[in-house]
Amino acid sequence: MLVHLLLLAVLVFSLDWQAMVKPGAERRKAPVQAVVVDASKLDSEIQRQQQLEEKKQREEQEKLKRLEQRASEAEQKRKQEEQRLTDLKLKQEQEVRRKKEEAKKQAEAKKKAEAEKKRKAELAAKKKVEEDKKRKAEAERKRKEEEKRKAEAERKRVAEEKRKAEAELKRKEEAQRKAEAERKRKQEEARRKAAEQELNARLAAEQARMAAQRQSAMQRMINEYGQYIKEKVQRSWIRPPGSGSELSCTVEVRLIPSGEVIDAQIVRSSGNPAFDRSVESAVFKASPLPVPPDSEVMEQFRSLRFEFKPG
Amino acid sequence: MKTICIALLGICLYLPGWLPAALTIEITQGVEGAVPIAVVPFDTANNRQPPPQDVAGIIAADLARSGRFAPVPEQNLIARPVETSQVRYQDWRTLGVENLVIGSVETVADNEYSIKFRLFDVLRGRQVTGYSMPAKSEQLRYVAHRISDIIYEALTGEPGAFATHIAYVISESKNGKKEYQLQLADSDGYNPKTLLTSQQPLMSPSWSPDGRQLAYVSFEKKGRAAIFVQAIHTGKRQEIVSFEGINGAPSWSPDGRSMAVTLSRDGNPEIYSLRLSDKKLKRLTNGAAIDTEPVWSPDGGSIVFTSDRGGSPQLYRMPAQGGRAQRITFEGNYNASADFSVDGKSLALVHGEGGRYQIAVLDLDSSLLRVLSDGRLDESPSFAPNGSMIIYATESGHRGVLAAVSSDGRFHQQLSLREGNVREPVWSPFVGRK
Repeated sequence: MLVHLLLLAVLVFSLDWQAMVKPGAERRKAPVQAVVVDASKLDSEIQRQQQLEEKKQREEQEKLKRLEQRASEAEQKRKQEEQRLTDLKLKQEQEVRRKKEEAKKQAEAKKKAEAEKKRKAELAAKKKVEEDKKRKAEAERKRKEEEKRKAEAERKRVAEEKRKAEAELKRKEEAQRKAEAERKRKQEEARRKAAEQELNARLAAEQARMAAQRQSAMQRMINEYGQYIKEKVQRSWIRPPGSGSELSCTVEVRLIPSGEVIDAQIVRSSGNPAFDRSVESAVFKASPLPVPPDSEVMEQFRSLRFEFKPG
Repeated sequence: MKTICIALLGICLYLPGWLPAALTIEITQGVEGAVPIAVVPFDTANNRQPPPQDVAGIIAADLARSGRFAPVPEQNLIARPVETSQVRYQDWRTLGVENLVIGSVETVADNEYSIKFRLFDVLRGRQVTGYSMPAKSEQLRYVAHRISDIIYEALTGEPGAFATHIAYVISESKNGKKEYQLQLADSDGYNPKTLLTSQQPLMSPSWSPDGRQLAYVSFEKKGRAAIFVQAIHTGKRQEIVSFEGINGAPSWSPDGRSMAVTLSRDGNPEIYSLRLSDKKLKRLTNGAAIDTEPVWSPDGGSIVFTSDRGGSPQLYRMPAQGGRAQRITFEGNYNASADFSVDGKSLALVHGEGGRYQIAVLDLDSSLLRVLSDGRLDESPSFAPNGSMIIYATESGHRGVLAAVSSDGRFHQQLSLREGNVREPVWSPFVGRK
């Protein structure tokens, strides 16, 4: 309300200030323009001055009237403001009353809700206890059942194990029996084989000894008669004069058991016909060749190869 | 058990590799020498008079002279078969001969003979070859030589050179006058024929390659040397060159178109090549030394000659067109008178060392020199056309005689010749043969 009053005061003052300034400005200009004046114009001027005076008076009256009006309006406004403040105070008192009532209501509602809540909690706790009891009973039942099942399984397992152990024992006994039989059989076999081997070895050694003896005897004969033949052919060989040591040739000779040469073939020629011929002649000339009387050894001499290479 | 043993042994013996498939025996030693051969005297029963020549004797001598065969002496012959049916191989084998020759000479007409011969391989018991040949009495020696050639070729694989000739110069004093003769004889020195007689020296006979002509040097024109060519059969002769000074040592080229000669027409003895068609000369050597005794290689590509350019007479070889000569003898202080073997691989030459002059053979590949003769003044070696022998002149009883040596030096023989001093023998080429 004080603010309103202040606002109003400010408004009034500003309006007043504007009205005062404007006419003063116009008055300072007037003396400068009134240098040249004629009679006619003076008349009109007096007339106009009169008119202006009139107008000024009229405007003073109007202004006074307006100020009065304005004061009454302010009075009216002050009364209205007083009314409004009274109303406001009443309203505030009503509001406090209403709030007190509401708080009381709320407290009651709260008390009631709490009672309800307590009741519900008690109910839930009771229910829970009951449920726990029931669950525990069920679990106990199940545990007992499981124990019973396990006991049964264990019993069965033990029975099976026992059966198996018995079977294994039986199997082992059988295997041992068989192994024993096999061992005996093998022993017998080994004994038999060893005997056979020994016999064979003795036989083979005897044969080898005989063969070696025979072989060395044969080889001796072969060497011996090879030397006889060599000497006889060398005695029979007349090398062509001037045939140098660079010549050589090979002749293959076939003999009959008496040692007679029945065929002589140059298998590698010296390239010199006279030399080749001398070689063939030597072999024929040496015929009959000295051959071993042993017919088996003689077989080695049926086909001979001579290499003629003068040193 | 015993049977098993024997069976096993049998298997062992027949196992391949147990013993070598064929026994090999090495023969490293043999007697280098002549092959024993029996040449039985030819049967002459079917003649009113005995034939003038001992054909079997000529054959035996030929074969012996070659050095390749050793004929059994006549008194050692154990039998005298005439027909094949009479030949008992075993007898001849016992005697140690490898081959046997039998034959006969039979009069078929007046002065007409039929000569039959057979050659047997005693060791193999079979006939090798056999021919029947007609001959007049003066041809009997030649036919005998032909038979020797056939036998030689059958047994050695090389052609024989018995039925060839030798030419030589023989000189003798008659009534205080010296007489020179150019003669021709069989390869064994028999049947000498005089081709030319001159009171002036004759020298350096040389055979044409076809064996139809002889070139030689004659001093018949007032003691001036000239080279002549003479046909053997017609005796027709022709002077080839006779320049101032030396005209010597003619040698035919293998194609017979040229002759290498020694001339001193330009002041010093040099070797020239003479084209026979137009007698155009080409000088092949040029130097202050004596260059002489040219001989052509069988391929005609080079000429070997004697030169003393190195201080002593030695052999040199140069291209047949002339050019750089290379010395080829280095052993001894005298090597001259070269003659090429037919294969061109060796030279026969006179080798002088320690005052002795002997016949030697130089192997051209190895440069090895082998002395063959053992005379004091041996000269003019000449190869047989088959290379098996060398004929040369040697001194015997203060005169020159002909001698032959097998080309391996094993067999020496002086050839029978009449009186006279024999020089410069030259062996003919094969005539009228392949």
